[in-house]
This record gives sequence, structure tokens and C-alpha cells, in this order.
Amino acid sequence: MDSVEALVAQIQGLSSSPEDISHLHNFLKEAEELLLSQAHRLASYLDQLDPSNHSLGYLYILEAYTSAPISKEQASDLVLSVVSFINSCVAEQIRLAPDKFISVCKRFKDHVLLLQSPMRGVAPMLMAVRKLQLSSEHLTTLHPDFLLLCLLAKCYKTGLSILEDDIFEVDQPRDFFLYCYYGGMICIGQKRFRKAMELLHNVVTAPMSTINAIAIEAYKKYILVSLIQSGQFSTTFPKYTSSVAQRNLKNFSQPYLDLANSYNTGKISELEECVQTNTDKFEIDSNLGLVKQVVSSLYKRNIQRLTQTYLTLSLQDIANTVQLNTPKEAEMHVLQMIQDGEIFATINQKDGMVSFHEDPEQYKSCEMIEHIDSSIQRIMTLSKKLSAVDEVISSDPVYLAKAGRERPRFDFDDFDSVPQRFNM
Amino acid sequence: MGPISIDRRTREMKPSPTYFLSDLDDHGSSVAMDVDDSDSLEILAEGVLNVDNKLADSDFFNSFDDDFDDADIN
Repeated sequence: MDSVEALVAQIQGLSSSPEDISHLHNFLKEAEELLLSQAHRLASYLDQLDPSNHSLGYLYILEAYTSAPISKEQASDLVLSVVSFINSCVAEQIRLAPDKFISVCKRFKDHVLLLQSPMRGVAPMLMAVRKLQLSSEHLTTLHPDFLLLCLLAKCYKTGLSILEDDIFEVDQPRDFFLYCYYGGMICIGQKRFRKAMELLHNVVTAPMSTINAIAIEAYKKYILVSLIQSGQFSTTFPKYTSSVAQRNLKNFSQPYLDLANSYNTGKISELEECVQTNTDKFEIDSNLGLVKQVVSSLYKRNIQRLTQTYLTLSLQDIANTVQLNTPKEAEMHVLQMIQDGEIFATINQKDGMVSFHEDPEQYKSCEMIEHIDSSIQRIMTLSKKLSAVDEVISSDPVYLAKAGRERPRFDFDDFDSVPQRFNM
Repeated sequence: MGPISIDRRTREMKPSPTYFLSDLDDHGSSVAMDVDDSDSLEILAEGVLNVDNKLADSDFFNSFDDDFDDADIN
């Protein structure tokens, strides 16, 4: 292919059937160097193509065009072109050249950040993820970029939509670390602390051969979220945590571990003293806001503890017990907890008395039955997946070689299924 | 101020929340396999072991505003 004009003609003529597209793809691969050499003048050729019909060819030209440096003024027009392409392109065609699609999308992300308009990238990047991924179980390298844009644009709810998918296929470990860390932050923003813990836990316990900066930051947030959600934190790692993480993570997180120890005393004064001592460190990590939520959660825990002992209690007594300044403050805390479903109570404003009630949930409503049923279905699906993964790993030579090396440490019955020739 | 009514009751303690990262009981005869740092973790490794003890992925983007202070709301 000796000219871009000829290539454009090929794209226009060979984009109508899968066989034609396969031929076209070969032409495009051969023309890569030509396109890169002409990068600065490719914009006009894009106008001759329809991104929905000529997706593959359009992608090759767009990728070459975006490889060249551009000014901030050109970035805005380029962003519009890329958005139009992402919205219009056919997924089957762009999946033939996933690396090029990824390059275009990553440069698009860089441009919206350069323009300080992350919001402009949120919807297109979500569309890009959906077009690139082969199934909802597939974690692409664009997932963390999408979540990053959501965080910068403060579009937490939009980011949450992608975190509902169960991930089973990961392209690169780094993508997994970032997806779970950014995803954890999205969940914190939406106060979905249980889900946040699950995602941050995944980063902390993921296999790693050297200590990972993302895991360190995830561990710090994990400690805080654990205190908010559960009221406690255990320094014991699960057995499947890498030895690198077990040996090193705590060394980077001392202020947070000190905070957890103070929290465990149940005394607001001790907790606030610890916060005061380590404010600078929490601020540097941009975690001070979350630390303040930890302090609020201790008030809540202490109020919740009261519901286990008393049927009624005055707001003054609540304030005195949990070290709030006034009954009004106690009322605000109790009201918020009632609204959030953390306690079941009524406040008599006339005499300042709070009556605590039992959880009215009887677990026999239609909604509860549906919830339980869907959880059962999800667990059954997960069980089948795990069985399939177990079969694949059981026949993996790398796994069997390692199992063979571990063999002398264990009883014969544990490893009698491991073939002898893998006993290395 | 009226008399303070403090009704005490004995309740069953609610089950304490489980430690999310607590030791899990072993199931079956399997023993968790430690990640051996000397192995080249070919399945999930990110290339050659970093012998300089530097942090992996230290260049990852983490410059977000601290947006989690509830005092900013209302």
C-alpha cells in the first residue's frame, strides 16, 4: 500500500463482510508504518470514513493520528472525534485490533485529563469498556482508567455500575490491583463499605513477588474501612496472603495500626488523640476524611452498644455515655443511625427519651425471599466456576511442578493425585 | 427535668462481627501454599523479580482530592 488514499479506498470497499474485513486487516497491518509516517495529516482522511461501518480501518488511522503529539487546543477537537468513534464503532471489528483500541482510549483519557475535564471521559470510557470486553467477567486494561475518571469527576454512582460484575478473567495483574483499589474508593464514596472491604482485601491478598505500592495504599484504606464497617480490625492476614505482603505491609501503615489500637479501647478521647498525633500523615495520604469517618463510627458503635442493654434512655444519658457534648448532638447521631438502619429506635422529643426496638425484619417478606434466592443462585454459579478453575489448575504443569516440590512436606494422602514425575 | 427512666434488660449478646481477615479454619487436608519468593510466579508475575527492593507500581496515579470528609456534606 503506497498511499493513504489507496488505503482509504480499500477500507471503504472491504468493510462489508467478515471475509472482506479479514483481508482488510492484513492490508492495514502492512500499512502501519505508512500511517505513522503520515500521522500529522491523517485527520482529513478520517472525515472520509464512517466509524460505524469502517470501524477497523477508522481505528487504524485514528490510532496513528493520536500517536503524534498535539497541542491543548487540538486536544479538544480530538476528544470529540474519539468520543464519536467510541459511540459509533462496531465491537466485533475493534476487537480484531484490541491493542490499537486500547491505545486510542488511553490517549483519550490523557487528553481529557490535560483539558481538566474528566467528566467528559466518563461515559465514553464506560462505552469503550463494554465494547472491548469479551464478557462481563473479563477485566480489561480500560477498567481502571474508567474508574480513575469517575473518581476525578466524582461520578461515584456511575463507577459503581461496573463494580457489580463478577470478574474471572484478568489480562494484567496491574489492572487487577488498580481496578480493586480504585473500585474500593468508589465504594467508599458511595458508603458501600462492605463491598469496599472486599475489593481492598483483594489487593492486599493478591499474589505479589515484590511489595506493591498499590497494595500499601489499599491496606491503609482497608484498616479504616474495616473500623467503620465492622468496628474492629485484625492484624492477622489470611494464609493465602503472599509472604511479601505479610512481612512488609504493616511497616508502611503504623499510624493506621495505632489508630486501630486506639479505636479498640472504645474511648473517644484516646482515638482523637491518636488522630491529632498523626494528622499530617493522614493528610499526606489523603485519608484524613476517612479517618474522621472512623471517629464518627466510634460514636455510633458506642450508641449501638447501649441498645443491647437499655430499652429506653434519655438523650442526656446517651450524650454522657458516649462523650458527646450535648443532648442535641446525641439526637443528631441517633436520628442519622435510625435513617441509615443502624439502630431501630424512636425519639420522644417532648421528654428527650429514646426508645430502642428490636429489628422488625422477619425474613419472610417477598423481597427477602428474592434476595436470598438470588444469593443462592449466585453462589451456585460461583461454585461451578470454581470447580472448572480447579480442574484447569490441577492439570497446569507449573502448578504440578510446584506441588511436586512441596510433596515431601506433606502426607502421601494429600498429594497422591500428583503424578510422580512432577516430584522434583 | 423529669425522672430518668433507665430500663435495663438482659439481652442475648448479638454474634460479634467476624474478623474479616481472621484465620480461617482449614477445610480438608490441604495446607495453604506459601508464595515462595524465590519462585518466578510465572502465572501472575510481572516480569523479573525486583532485586532493588523498590516498590512495584510506585508510579500509579493516586492524586485524588480527599473527598471522604462527611463534614463537607450539608
